[in-house]
Amino acid sequence: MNEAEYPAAFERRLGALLERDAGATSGQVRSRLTQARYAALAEASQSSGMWRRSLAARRFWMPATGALVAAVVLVMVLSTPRHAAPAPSFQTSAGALTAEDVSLLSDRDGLALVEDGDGQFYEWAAAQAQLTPKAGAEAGESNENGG
Amino acid sequence: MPAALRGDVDRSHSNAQTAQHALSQFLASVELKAFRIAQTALRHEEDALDAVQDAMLQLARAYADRPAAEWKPLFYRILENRIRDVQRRRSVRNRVMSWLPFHSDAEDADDPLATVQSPELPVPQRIELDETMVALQNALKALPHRQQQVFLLRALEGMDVAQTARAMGCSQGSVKTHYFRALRALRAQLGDLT
Repeated sequence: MNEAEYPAAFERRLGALLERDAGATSGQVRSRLTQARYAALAEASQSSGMWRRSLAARRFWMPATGALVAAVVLVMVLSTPRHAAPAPSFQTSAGALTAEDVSLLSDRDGLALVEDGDGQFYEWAAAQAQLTPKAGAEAGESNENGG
Repeated sequence: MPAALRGDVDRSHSNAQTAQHALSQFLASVELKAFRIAQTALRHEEDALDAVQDAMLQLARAYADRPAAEWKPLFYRILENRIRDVQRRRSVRNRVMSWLPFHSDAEDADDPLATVQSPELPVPQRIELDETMVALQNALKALPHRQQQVFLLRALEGMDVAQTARAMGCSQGSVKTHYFRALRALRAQLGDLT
């Protein structure tokens, strides 16, 4: 590609024609363009004014706000009581385990009774409780004698 | 507010007034050419005016605090985007209208967009221009959009390759290619304009 092969005179003539064309713009269009320019300048003035006001406000309020935040943070840090480290606790999805739960889980025999789950042990225990103390005592004696 | 801060604000107020004046001069210097560029691309006076107005507002709103040397490429970049937006909306509108069952040729006749291909120019002042001007306008309209815009930015607005590339959002090599092809096409249609 070589632009030089097209004479500069051709480009100049084109430019002159286009300038002439632009200069022949109607008054109505010129008026509309002037209105548009004033609207744009008003917009620029408005945004510039807002920017200046916000800059001044920032310069005034930022140090004060920063000092206030620092003071609040300092007060919070100093006023927070220093606790001893809490005792570790076992967590499950149901919440914290109590000591009673831990001892139950560590008792293999008790756990086996619970895990049987057929209720036979509890039925037997209930039936035993309904027996008279005397019968219970006799049964105990006979067991002791028989055993 | 402390006096030192008031002084800063006063100084910035004075700077803002200077910038405002510079912006006013810049907009006044580009508005006619920008309108012509938009009108050549959109072939519709109202759409061209709207596009130029939007570009002015956007430049003032978002880039007024930039150095004045950056305004021209930024302004034409915004204008180019607006022109593209209008062209896209037209394209969608035309597609939708062609699907509508009640769409008829009679509506096309009333639609100003349907008459944009007319070789006759709408502005009365164009009548006073000679045949060469009319031929140039028609040749410009026949150019592909990128070639047309690159050519107008360089030949009418006087932007260099780098500025044109920034305004068009493309590489400098692409600008040179588009400009060369536009010149070649115009010369083929118009001759040497001697």
